[in-house]
Amino acid sequence: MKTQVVFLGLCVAALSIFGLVILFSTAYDAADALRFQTQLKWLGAGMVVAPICVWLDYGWLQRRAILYPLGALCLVGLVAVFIPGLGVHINGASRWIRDLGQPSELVKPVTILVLAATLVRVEKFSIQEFGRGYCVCLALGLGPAILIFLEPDWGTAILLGAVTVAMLLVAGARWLHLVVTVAGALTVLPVFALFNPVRWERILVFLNPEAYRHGAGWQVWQSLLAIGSGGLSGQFLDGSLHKFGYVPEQQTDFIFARLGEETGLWGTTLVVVLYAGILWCGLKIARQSRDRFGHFIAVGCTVLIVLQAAINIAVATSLVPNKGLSLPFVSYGGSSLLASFVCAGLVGSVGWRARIGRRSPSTAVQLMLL
Amino acid sequence: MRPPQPRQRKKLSVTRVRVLAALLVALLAALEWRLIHLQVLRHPELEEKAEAYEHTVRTDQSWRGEIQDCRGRPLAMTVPAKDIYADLTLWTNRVGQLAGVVAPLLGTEAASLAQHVDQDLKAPRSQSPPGAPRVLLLKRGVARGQWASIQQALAQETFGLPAAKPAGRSGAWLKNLRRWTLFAVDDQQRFYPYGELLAPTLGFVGTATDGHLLAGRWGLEASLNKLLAGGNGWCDSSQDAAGNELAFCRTAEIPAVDGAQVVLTIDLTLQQVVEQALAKAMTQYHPSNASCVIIRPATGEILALASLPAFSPQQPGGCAPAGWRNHVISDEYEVGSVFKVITLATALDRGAVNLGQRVFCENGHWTYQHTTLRDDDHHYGDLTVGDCLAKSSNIGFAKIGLLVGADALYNSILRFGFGSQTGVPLCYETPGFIRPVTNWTPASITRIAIGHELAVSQLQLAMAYAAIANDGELMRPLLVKAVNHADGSPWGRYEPQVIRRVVRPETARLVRAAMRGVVEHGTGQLAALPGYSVAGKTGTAQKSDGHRYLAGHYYCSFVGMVPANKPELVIAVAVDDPGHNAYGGTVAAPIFREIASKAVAFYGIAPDPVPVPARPAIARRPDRALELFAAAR
Repeated sequence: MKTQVVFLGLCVAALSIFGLVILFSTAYDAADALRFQTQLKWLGAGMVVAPICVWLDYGWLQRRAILYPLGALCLVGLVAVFIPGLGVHINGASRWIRDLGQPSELVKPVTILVLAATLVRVEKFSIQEFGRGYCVCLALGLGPAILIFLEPDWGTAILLGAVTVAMLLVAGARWLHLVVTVAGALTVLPVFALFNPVRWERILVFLNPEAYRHGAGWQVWQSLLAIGSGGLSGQFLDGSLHKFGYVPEQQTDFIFARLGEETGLWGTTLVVVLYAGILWCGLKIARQSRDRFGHFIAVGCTVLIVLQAAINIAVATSLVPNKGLSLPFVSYGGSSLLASFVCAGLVGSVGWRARIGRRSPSTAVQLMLL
Repeated sequence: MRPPQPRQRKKLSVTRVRVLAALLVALLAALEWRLIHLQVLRHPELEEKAEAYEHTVRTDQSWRGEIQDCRGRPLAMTVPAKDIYADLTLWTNRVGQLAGVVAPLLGTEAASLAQHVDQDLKAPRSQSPPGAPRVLLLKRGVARGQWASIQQALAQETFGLPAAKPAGRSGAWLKNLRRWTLFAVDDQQRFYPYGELLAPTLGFVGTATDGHLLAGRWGLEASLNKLLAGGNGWCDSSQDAAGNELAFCRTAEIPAVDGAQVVLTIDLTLQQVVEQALAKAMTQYHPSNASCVIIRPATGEILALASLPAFSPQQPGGCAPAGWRNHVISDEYEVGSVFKVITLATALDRGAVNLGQRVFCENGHWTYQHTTLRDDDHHYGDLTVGDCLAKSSNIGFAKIGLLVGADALYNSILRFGFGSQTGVPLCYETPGFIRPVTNWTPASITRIAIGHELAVSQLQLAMAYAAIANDGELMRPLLVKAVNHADGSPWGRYEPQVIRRVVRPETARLVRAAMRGVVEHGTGQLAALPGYSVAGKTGTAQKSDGHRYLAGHYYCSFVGMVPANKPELVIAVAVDDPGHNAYGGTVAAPIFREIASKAVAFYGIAPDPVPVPARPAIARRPDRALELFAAAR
């Protein structure tokens, strides 16, 4: 099983390096240069944290003494963003705690852990029951999602909800329950959007970005232009002109537009393939995990990473309305990068202790991981 | 419900993971298809649209050239100015407040300014990113000093914020307001250092629509616009989203060629002399206009070209467009008696008459072809041809015209340049009007010979006189002497150009001799200059409204040359409608004398060797100078 872990590590490393190169090429003033340095520091931190996660046995995360404080911390964090002195209000949303980062990034892995631990207990007898099994698990996952939804951060909330549903699916929940849940979400969300002018405008923009290009559709339309002008082989790092301020948030949420223009279809396909690689490794690790807890962790974290990437790419190519989600391992951003590394590390930790592990990892592989 | 057995559970779990994997792989495949769609199928379209945002053509403004007089003194020059803009991102939500602060600085009404800004804020956005700065032009062509004082005033403005040392965010906000409420962009402004002097000829500029900052709208500014404007430079480049140029993307870079320096033949000093003399006449007679042109006959150079009333080229809007008219070249008149010189020159040149020949002047009343011709208040009998000119006998010249013949007179008039434009580089020059000889009535020749039934411009008349002064050679009028590059290095010169010989040199000499008679003992005695021989001719023509002649409205003119035997200057003076009892000899001739006396002194033209009896009033002047000199001692 160590092969998958190594492969997973390679995919993550490739994406990180790719992201660094693209971030470097977007830099054309002092603030951008500073961003590159910051990203380097956070990547360094991630490179330390992820192997530690792999090295630690995920099993002790199942203990209540660890899970409960973690869960409580998350809840406090999610509530704290609404406290005027602590929370930072940017662009109409309260997602940040001053000097600490986004609590929602911590919530993502912790929710997966709590849900995994619960599913292990519930799975054997009551997952197929609606009240005692399904609803309790769903509530555990959707609870933080709803708090995040109120920030408002629809992207993360929907992502967390989708991860919850995916974990319930793997745990063996009844199809009927799952289908009703998904259908319910798909009905409720547009209704909410209808009463929220900003979201509604984003939906209109996504339907026809060119028509709204002078206003709300500017970002998405410029992103489409950047990706489209990349063509098959890209305009290379020095040939791209659309990076000079045309796409807002091009270092964070819209870094995929930058990538599309500079590396072309080859580069974007490589990124998609790398995420597919993470998906393959993650699910393979999940299937051969030592226990059910590890299984759920691996599924949850893998789905989290891959789905977040997929939504981000879909936003950049205007397949779904605009959301504020970063591209894992590639986008600039401290806490989200670290959260992604922790998730990958948890998957790695599961893989490291798989049932069919035959060989111990060679020093070379260990070095590569580091 | 019975919980699933471990084996079943294991199988179920594998299936569920496969389902999940299939869903996510399908999602990634959909993304990949979208990428292929965008980056391969729609690539040409999107790349073109992206380039439309990135590509930019920057203009390098050329500097409008100077107009100078013949001695290099600037008559029209370009000075740097500022266009004042407002940064509307700051103005949003506080238009009223900022307009109240800014309006007094710009010298406008706060309410109208606020309305102007509000209108622009409500207008739909242009093609720029949502965060890009929006600007609005508030005032053009503000002098740099004025802009500096506006900046100073803004730097001390508090904008209603607490005045005592604001710090932190409100301090930064105040700093922003002070710096960007108004900002300025370089512009050019035309400056006419001599004000109204030469205004109808120089013209003025307006806002350009062809990419330049200034465009000539009137006079030389308009007719020589291409030379003066120069060529804008440009560079083909790319820009970032905020509109800043990305210098490394420049593909073509053509520097601007500044406008040429145009040197006129006008002599500023002489022009000032002329305009002062005309201004005096304007206050004395209140005519509808007064004009004067001075020609150097040997070259055809126009040394002064004045047309009053003038206007300020700095603010041409200050008078009605009719006031911009250049009366010397744009007006056409039935000039009357001054035209008799042309008839005389033709007659002498063809040998139809000689100066001593006697002509019977019918005692002031002659009916020919059922029309009656009169010599006002004079009953001349026999007069020599020379006296006919000196006394300006209509009947005498009608008979001389008959002796010349219609065809010959008509051809000669055309050869003198009447009926066609002189070719001076100014817009709206009139060609004058003369009917083809085939359309003449039998009596026409008696009217055309005395300057009626035809319309000529003052410049045409002056050039025809200059031909006589130049021993019979008609010159092209020169207004532009040379064109220099913007740095002053010579580019091209306009050389004097003979159009044609119109009369023989002997004829010209005889005509000048006859014209001396006009000044010495004829109608133009008030034009006489002490020490100089003056040749000239007066003209007093009744004005018409197109249907009949108007009583009491006269066009008074005098065209003269000095010195008579070898003329250096031809001076044509005209006063349009100076009122009752006005004649060319009483109104225009004294103006001529005033201008000519200063012009000969200015050019150092030597007095005639033959002593000419001087008028006592002028002879006293040296004594007065001596008195002053003595008093100073």
